[in-house]
Amino acid sequence: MQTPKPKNWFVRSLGAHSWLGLVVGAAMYWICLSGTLLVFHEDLGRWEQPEVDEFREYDEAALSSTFNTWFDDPARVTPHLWIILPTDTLPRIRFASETDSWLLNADGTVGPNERNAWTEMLMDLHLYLHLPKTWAMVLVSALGAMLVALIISGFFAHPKIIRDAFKLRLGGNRQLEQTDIHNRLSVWGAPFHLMIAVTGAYFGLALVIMGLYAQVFSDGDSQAIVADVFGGEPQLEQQEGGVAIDAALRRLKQLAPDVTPVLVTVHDAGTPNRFIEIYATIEGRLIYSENYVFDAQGEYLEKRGFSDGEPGKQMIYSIYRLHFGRFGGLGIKLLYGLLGLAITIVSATGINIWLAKRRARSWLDDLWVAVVWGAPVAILLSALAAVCFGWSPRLWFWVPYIVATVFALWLRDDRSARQWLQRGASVAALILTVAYSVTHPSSAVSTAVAGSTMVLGVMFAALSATGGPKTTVLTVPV
Amino acid sequence: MFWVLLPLLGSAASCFLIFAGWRTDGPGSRWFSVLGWALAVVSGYLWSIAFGWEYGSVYAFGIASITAWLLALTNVRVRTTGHKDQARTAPTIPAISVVTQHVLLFVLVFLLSGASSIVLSLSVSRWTVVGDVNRLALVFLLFPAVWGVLAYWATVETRLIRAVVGITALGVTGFGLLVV
Repeated sequence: MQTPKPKNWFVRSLGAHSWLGLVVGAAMYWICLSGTLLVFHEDLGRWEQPEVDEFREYDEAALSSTFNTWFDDPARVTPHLWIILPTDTLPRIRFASETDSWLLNADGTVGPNERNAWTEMLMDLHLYLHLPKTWAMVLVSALGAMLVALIISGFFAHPKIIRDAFKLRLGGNRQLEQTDIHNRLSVWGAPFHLMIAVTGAYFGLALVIMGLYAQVFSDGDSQAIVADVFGGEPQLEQQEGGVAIDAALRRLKQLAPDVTPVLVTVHDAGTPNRFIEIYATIEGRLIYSENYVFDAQGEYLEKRGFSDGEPGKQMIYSIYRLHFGRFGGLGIKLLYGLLGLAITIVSATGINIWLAKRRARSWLDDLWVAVVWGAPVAILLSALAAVCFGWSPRLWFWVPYIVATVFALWLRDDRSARQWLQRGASVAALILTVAYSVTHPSSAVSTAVAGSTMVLGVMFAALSATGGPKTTVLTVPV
Repeated sequence: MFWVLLPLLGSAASCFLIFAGWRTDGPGSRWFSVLGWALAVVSGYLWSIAFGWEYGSVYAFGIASITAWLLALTNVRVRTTGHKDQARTAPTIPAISVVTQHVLLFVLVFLLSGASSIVLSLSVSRWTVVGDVNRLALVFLLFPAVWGVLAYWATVETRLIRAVVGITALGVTGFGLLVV
């Protein structure tokens, strides 16, 4: 028989909040956790491949010459080619095609292939939950909308929002403790969480909505809509040959001396219609870049207008940096890292509250402990496997995760399982520290990383040592 | 440095005043709160002077959140009593009717609300904004918010059928406004 819903709006909102939270709980936790780590995407990439030359200055003519020589081999050419230029946060130069990526040495020669399989694994977890991309990106976008619903229902479910604004009661009653942590982090972090929700929903559904928009407003011509937003392709008829990237970069300095070029794209590479697009960041702006278009000889053709075009264009082009925190340097990274960690904790404590409210424990408690505390173990072991031994990060993420889950379910005691998994994460962090120092010796990055992973290991060890209230578990034969 | 410290101190002071207002009993508490919120607005402006309004807004909201958490940490009460043991039981298997209701709610929240929110956002942008790119931007901004509101409505509504009819009606209205 269906239980009638209560009439009180707060109580009904709490029910709605619980339902939404339970439906998206684990996925939201994975997305938030991986998103928090990906705030440091560039640093993780450097950490994965520390032996690469790092430099900020480069000779444009030498760069252009190396690029043209490297891509003179038709086997390497794809319709789009890129040069990722060095920045303060990532002082490396990369050449990339649609299938491969190479790093440049300081002497201007082409160096090793880029290796960032572990960071890419985290990115795939954040964007697609490791599911098939075509529909997973829509699912993850839907979770952005669900986060909006959770924020709304959370506020309506919190009648004492002012009275409890700074209350934080730890220890004792678990439900009360988890509720206080959940509410303090979520209420004060709400502006950030709302921004993340709305911008996060964009990525997976942008193409779907553009297609629908084109059907309604542009007779189904979605290419016209894409061209309106991101710019179209110039029609050129040029002779075969290379691309004068140095000329384009020099011209850009004259056109816009205050911008910083970060990316060069060669469109329609190897065809008479090839052209160069330079992406340049503007200090203080959230737009990904202002883009300048040049022909193959480096003659200026047009500016895309992301910095001074229609407000809608500026807004759409700002979503990426705003969502991922790719602006403003270390200060923003730390801010996003802390705010991201908060929303990750909110995801975990939300389910903890629901579990504590049931006044009974079951395999669901064990499963949830495995989801929450198995993740650090899986992430650290996948880093160990991929970065130190070159093994598949995805396999080494899911296998330990499944093992952790089976272990927690077998143990049938969520508190012990949590402590064991925290100890496991501590040991994994320490092994990673040692293995990384051995496999990547004498690197400047390795010293910093050894320190960080060591701290992480100690932190997990400390967490497992506290272990929560010591109580006897009542066991009812089931 | 001055233009970094000034808004930072402003944000910290505004949170502290709000916190002081929250802790203080009596007539003074309201003034602390009012002053705190006023200072929060001023420091938001100062952040925008220091970093431009785009970065400044992010700093203003982000720093305020973190300061509030730090203040909550100063207010921690550690309890050693009140923990209740929970007996370990087997979870009960829900009735088919309850499972069906949850599945229907899932369809309503994820599919019907999603579709209605996109159609509604498209129609609102059609009738309110000029220019393809601006319209599209408004759709991108609106649809997650509308979807969130509809999902909340679907889950908070006492009678599922009322939410189904309401959300469908909104979707149909949105579609009508698109084709006229």
